[in-house]
Amino acid sequence: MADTKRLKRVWVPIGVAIAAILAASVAATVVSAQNSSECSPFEGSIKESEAFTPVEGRMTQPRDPVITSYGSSDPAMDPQASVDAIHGKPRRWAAANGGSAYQYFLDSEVTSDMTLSEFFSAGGIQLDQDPAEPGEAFAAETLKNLGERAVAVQIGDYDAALVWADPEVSNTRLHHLYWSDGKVNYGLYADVSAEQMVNLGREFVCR
Amino acid sequence: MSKSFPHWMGKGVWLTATSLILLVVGFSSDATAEWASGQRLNSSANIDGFKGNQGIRTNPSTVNGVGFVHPNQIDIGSLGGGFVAVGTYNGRGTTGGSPDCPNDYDARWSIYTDGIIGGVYWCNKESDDAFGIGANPAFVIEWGWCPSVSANRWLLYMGGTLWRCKDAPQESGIAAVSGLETTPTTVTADYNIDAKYVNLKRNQTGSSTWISLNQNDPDADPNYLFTPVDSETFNVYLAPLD
Repeated sequence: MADTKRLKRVWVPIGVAIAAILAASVAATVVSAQNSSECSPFEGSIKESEAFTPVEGRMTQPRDPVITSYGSSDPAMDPQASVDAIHGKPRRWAAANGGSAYQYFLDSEVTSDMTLSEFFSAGGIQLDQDPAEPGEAFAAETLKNLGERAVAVQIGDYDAALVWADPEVSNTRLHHLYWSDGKVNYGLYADVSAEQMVNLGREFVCR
Repeated sequence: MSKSFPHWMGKGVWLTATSLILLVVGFSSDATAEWASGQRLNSSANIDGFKGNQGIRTNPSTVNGVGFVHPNQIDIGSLGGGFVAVGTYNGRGTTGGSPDCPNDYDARWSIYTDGIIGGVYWCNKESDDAFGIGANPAFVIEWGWCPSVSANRWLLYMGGTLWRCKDAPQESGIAAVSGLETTPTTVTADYNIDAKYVNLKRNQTGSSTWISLNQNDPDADPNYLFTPVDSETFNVYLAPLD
């Protein structure tokens, strides 16, 4: 008959060690999942501040410019900045200067007299890219500057700031999404829900 | 200061002539009610400075619920996105949200700064009753070093004082504009809040030389008027110009 007491003395520490290893593995998996790139569709709901300034509450009235006042349907731009489509919507208009690029995506053509509010009402998505300042923590600064009006979210590998913007001419409140890759500061704008905007951002950065 | 015309026929002829001026310079299709302005709209967002003098021609009588504004602003980043502004106002201030430009019902004009950054509107009353009729305060809006935070910001000056530094992801803008406006949008009456803008200049990104504004995109309510004078001067007013 085996010395059960000795076996116990051996197996207990081994068992504890195995348990510890398993626990560590699970913890690592959880940590790994938390640190992994957020490309999966957002599930749940995002709580946002109800505060906003109505159009009538402003010092000056918002203006509604015609998109085609600048840029063109296919301007020359940095190939790395150029985007063909977002969420299945082709790029219809764009403007670029130096390190900045502003691109407009829509199912249909942008007409010559289409205003910005008409663009968003038609389901348009706008993507802005501007050069980042060295050492700038774009999302963190946006969250700090806007306080309760911005919500921290994860877009791919990036920390991002989600904003339910104040209404413009049409009294529509767009959602804005801001993030940076350290070289370029991005802004994504659309007339969609907070959750849909997060998914648009993830779809874009994880493509 | 009241407005009057010698006779109805003279006023009609004069307004017709002025309307022709608006047609010649290019009447913008995005006219908003109770507004007159001159704007420099560039083909790309490369304006990082705008300055001039705002000639205040009137002390309007207060009207409860009505605001009078002389804004000067740069539209930062993409068209129709954010903006930063400094100017003068009188009467109804801002309401709702967190802006802090209270009502100011008296005959003098107060300095304010406002804008939209990151989709959120802000407003601050900087100096109460700073100017009266005949004043020509200088204003400057530019991206530059803000001493109080030791970093680059949008700098908003009026009357020689730096009133506010604002952080923004964009360091330049697509347009620079000055004008007059009444608020809120439900106001349809026209009030005598004439302004004469002079010494208007802009700075292009990468340059240290200020150049003439050369406005190219005027805009006016059918009853307010915009008339250019030269590359650095224009008037916005309810006829006749005071």
